[in-house]
Amino acid sequence: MGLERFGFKSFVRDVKGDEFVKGLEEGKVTLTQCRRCKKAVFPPRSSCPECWSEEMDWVEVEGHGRIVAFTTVFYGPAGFENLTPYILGVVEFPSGVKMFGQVEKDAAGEEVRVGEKMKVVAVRTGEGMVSYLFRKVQEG
Amino acid sequence: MEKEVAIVGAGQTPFVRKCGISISELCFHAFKESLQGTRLKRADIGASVICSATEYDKQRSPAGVISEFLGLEGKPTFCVESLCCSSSSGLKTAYAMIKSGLHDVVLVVGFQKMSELTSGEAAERMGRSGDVMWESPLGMSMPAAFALFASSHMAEYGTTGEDLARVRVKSSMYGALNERAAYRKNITVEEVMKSPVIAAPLKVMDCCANADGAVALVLAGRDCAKRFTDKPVWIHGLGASSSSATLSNRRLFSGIQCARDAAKDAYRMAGVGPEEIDVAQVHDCFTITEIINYEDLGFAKPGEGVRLLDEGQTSLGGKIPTNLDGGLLSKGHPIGATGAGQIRTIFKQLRGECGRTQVAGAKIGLVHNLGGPGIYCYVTILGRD
Repeated sequence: MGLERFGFKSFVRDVKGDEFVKGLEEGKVTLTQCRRCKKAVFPPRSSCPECWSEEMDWVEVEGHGRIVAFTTVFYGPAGFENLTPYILGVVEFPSGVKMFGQVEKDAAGEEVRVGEKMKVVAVRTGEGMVSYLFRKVQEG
Repeated sequence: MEKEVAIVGAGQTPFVRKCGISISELCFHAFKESLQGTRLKRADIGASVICSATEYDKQRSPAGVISEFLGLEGKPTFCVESLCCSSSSGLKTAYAMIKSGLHDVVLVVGFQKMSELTSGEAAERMGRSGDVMWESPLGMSMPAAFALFASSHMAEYGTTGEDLARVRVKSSMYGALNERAAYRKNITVEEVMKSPVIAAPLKVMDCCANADGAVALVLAGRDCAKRFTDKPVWIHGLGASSSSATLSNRRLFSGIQCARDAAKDAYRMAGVGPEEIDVAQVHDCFTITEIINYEDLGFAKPGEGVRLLDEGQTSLGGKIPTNLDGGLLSKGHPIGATGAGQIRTIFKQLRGECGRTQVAGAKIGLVHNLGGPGIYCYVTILGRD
């Protein structure tokens, strides 16, 4: 159940990541937090980049973030041709953690904007793979 | 203060979409030209540094094969890689090899043959130059990364697609004057705006194209440089830095932090500021990147890069003529060769060898070379004296 099952196309083998993938299967998007210095880390790691502790806790990504940067990709690399157009973005959460990911295409076809409010949700991407998407949150 | 290391020879193949020859032959043509007009002999080369991005052709560990083909068997050789700034980092390596006293003369060869892959396959390689565990699986691509930066720059400063198109127009004008560039046609704003969107707002014509090519630079120490040429070009400043490979961990999206840091270090080592640079080459992999580069290098304040372009300050006759060889946008971007190609253009500018695109009296030049989506940056400052 490792990271081979993460994303829209995987390039890795034998790298663990079971907890993250299990979380997505259960509908949870998680990151790792250092037990010692409390730093929240994404992408998840088994060691803290700040203090090098190897005791990390899995924590669900909470709340709403805002789009910092985005783009709609019309021409994708090999393996992603069938997904275009897809939207990529970076969302910053109040804790300061940022996540790079795909943005769910808006049903109304409305454009994404920098500063737009987003939450992150777990999704299945086909053929036993799982990932996460950013979903617009209504302001107010 | 007397400078320790100089460039004494430079050679370059034309940059083309499809070279039809082997990587060894590409490097041979560049190397042969680098010795022309000098008093260098092949036997003077003490070591070689071979620079290229991985997985575009099938040759593993190309240093040995290329070194053999160039007639340098018996001399130490190895590869250096930092994506699109492989040959700038190769130059830094050669500088250190000479300055340390280990060698007197070092050859730097940057090459890339991209035409053995389809553009989708090449894009897949580039997507895997980001974090292959966490970001490549989500469809990261090089145009997408720079399009993200564009969206931030646009939100913060009101930059438009037309502003970016004008970068391509300038580039095309100089590409038309460069016989070794892959793109020799003048392009209009309208043509850029009508070209298909790759990753919004970047359209086909906002993007540099894959290309095949090789560039060779010969570096020599102070004690022997004048033996080989009457016009050595001295390395005044070297700066380098890195930013996070994961886009999740970037702090800056409307600029590239490692470029700002590398520039500061290079200026400090050279003892000059941006206003003293006479001519520059900056990494215009995409139109937005050229604007961001002006700001990261201190040629313009953040948000004022477009104005610098529109005032003509980065054209011939302006305050800081930039990319007068057409840049990556018009020359094409044979990844491993690009940095050395930029350096060769400044080398020629400082020797008065640029003909119609010569910046009169150029004494100090700057080369800014990024790797990937600004994971790496190398800034090199060269001087005539």
